[in-house]
Amino acid sequence: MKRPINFLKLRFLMITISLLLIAAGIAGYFIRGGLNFGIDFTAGLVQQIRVDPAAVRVDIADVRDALSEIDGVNLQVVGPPAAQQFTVKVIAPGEEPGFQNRMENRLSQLLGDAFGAENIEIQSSDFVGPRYSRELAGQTVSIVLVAMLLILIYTTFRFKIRYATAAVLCLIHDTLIMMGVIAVFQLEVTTITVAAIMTIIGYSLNDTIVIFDRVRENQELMRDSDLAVILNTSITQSMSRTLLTSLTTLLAVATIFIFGTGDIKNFALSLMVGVVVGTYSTVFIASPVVLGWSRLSDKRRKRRDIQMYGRQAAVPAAQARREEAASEAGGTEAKEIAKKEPAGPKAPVKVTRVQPTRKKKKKKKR
Amino acid sequence: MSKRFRLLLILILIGVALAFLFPTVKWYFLIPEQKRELSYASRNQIKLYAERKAADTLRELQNLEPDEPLPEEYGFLTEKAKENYRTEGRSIPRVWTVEQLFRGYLSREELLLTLEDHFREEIVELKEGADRRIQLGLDLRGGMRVLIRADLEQLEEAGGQALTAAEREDAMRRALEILNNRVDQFGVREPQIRRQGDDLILVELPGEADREAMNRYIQGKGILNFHLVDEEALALFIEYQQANPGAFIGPNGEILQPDILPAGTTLRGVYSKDAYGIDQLRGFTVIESEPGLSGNYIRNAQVSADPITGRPVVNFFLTGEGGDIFYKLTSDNVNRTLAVILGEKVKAQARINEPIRDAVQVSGFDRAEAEDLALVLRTGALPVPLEVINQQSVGASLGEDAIRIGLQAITYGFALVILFMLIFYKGAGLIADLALVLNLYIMVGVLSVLGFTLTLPSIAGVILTVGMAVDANVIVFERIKEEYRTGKSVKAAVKAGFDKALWAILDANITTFIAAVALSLLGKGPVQGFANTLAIGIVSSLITALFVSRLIFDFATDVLRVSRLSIMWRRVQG
Repeated sequence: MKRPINFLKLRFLMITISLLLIAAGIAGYFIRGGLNFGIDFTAGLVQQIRVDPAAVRVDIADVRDALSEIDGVNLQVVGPPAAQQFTVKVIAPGEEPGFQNRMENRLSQLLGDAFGAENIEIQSSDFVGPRYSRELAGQTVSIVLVAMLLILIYTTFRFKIRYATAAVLCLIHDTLIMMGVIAVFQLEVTTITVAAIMTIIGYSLNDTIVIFDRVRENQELMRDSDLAVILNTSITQSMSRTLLTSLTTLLAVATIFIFGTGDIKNFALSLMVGVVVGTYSTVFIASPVVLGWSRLSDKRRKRRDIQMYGRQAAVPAAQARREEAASEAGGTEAKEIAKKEPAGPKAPVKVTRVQPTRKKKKKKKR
Repeated sequence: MSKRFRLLLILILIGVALAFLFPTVKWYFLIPEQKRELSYASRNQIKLYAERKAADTLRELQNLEPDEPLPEEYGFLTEKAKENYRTEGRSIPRVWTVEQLFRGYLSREELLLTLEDHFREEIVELKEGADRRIQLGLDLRGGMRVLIRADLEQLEEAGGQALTAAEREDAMRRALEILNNRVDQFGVREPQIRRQGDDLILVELPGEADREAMNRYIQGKGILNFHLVDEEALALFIEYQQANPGAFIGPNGEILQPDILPAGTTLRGVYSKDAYGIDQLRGFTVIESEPGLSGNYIRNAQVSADPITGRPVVNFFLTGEGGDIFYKLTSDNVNRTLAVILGEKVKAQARINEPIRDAVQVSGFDRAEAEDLALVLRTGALPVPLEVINQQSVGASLGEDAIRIGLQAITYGFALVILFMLIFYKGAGLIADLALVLNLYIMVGVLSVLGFTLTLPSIAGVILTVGMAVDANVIVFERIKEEYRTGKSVKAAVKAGFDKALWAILDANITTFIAAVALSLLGKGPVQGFANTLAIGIVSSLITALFVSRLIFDFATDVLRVSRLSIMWRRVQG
């Protein structure tokens, strides 16, 4: 069997990196002036127009000049510049009846005046009213919250609450980093972005659960090992699967990125970021949280034991744990012990019996 | 479960998926483009097509030799003929010849009508079958989609009190009635009008987007008026109609005004609802162009039963001012006919028996007709303000691009994943690839039977599912490799691998499934489409990975007695 890699040794470094990334995302959010909301969420009109390249040569600056008298108009080039395709986005100023028609007419008139009405082709037009966008925004938040809650319930039911919490923390971590990337690169936030985030939540969760499942299995097999060892072993055992699945998913998403345009390209980009972050967080965020939680609750239990039964009763077990924690990397050791002591009812007597042999071993090593 | 039984289950699954898939395959590959186009056309267009086709077919039949056996494609005609033979007590011929067929019909008109019905039904069936095949979304085939909200709050404000559930329902029906009434704004194409949720109406129009027609459609008011019928002009028109049948119907089924009509009169079509609830042209009438009374004077309209005959009647009530106008109109025109006109369509006609003031009773319908008329009258009384909350239009050329991009992405994404699995897992990779192909097949089958609308985001969902679907296989394979390394036999390693991977796969997929379902239930539009593909993909990938792959493995170990595991690009040390 492969020697477990000590992923958890890096946990403080990785958590720091994650926190820095999240902080960078938040900073980016404020520096870039918030998220670049699409009209799904802000209400307004988006048109994709094409100026016939055979008739007039224009670039984005010409189009901007032509539309200069409209306030708050946002322009983007679609595809290669030579194709002369642009998206024009105008945010609706609050509740204003008739905005859509008026703005549509104004756009086609201004563009027609500048480049000749017969050369303008409106390829697509998309209007979202204020009420629709408000409902959508509220709905989106509730979708994410409800989904997370359901996931929390299911994982609590299948695992322990600490695993469920770790999984959900992991998802929050992924969401925050993805939002950070979206803010920093000013990717447009549309309903499709929401779909991307939800996909990554599902994906990252998938990854986390597979490892936790292995942890649960290994806890049976390696009863006497420290949790850190079990976690490391489980991550290592699942590693090839984690990498392979990420790779196939990335392959698929990369084709969407390469062939897609506009919204779909952004969607694929967010997904690629998400797949990488999701894979990373499973290894470096979820497991450390479980470990941290377990250590905290052990400490609390120790304190309670001392209060209830006096110092003596608590010492041996606590000592054993502390020493195990100090060894941390001992995967091979743990395995040997596990083989010697096949799964059986756990009794405190056994722990004390194994302890001396292990101490001896450590001394040998030193 | 025995292998044979499992194989049977899988074959049944494949068969069911094929049955699911068939309407989609038929639609996109077997039905000629022209018929597909026709199914988007308005009902009038379809009727015109059926009439033309019926006349052509009759001519063809007449050109055949009388004693020639009836060509198979006209077999549908014998049914009606048999019926007539039977009622006349004649013996039904064993082999139908053209002449015998003609003898089975009472008149040329009857034969024409049967033909027309057949051709019409053919197209209408295509139209109705839309919810059993994969449809292309707006972003793929081009067209318009408008989400309209009926502003019920404004109605409440106007009425000064909250609407009851029944009143809201009625308001929505009035709004739909007005919209249905304006479908001819689009000419040849017919929009699909669907109610969504409590107060939303979705209008979809495939094909090249005509935004101006759409705006006219939404903004136009449901103008209701009462007009007197001009009997003299009508007599003139009937004469003209007999001499020039069909001359006053435009190429798109619109009504042209013949110049024989005296000034101040207008030709209008008389409509009633057909079995599909769509206005159908039934005849013509000539009205005075100036309305006798505006529908704005209507206070309310209801259906009730006549106390003596028990037949349904429509009672409607006018405002005081309206009653004065109506009294003058009716007293001057006793025994003339009054037409109720919504937009440009005659919805009802009734003879004026006596002068009437503000409480009017109209009789002479069945219950459904009465309900329809009351609804029409109420659209005049209580107009429902409509508000566009979301409008999308995509040019057809952009849609074609999107289809090309989507197909490319699916093809390459799929090929890459398949190739990767094959290179990495060799023999086992082939099994995973088989499972993947089957997975895609089942997915498309299920999407098809649900009448799924394929959009670009849902194609992305399909591709993503392809990428993630191999996951279950990867988990199993890695586990089998592990077990094999501990020195187990191939058979034992496969069994242990599947058993130990089971819960990891189930847990992982159930949680993702939860996320997908939450997205599908709460999401709208593109998000929902994406979530549905994801959810279906999860289920079908579970089936293929746990069931199909397992069977192939078992087959390889038990029947082929494979003793070496081909599951890695380099040899696994046993």
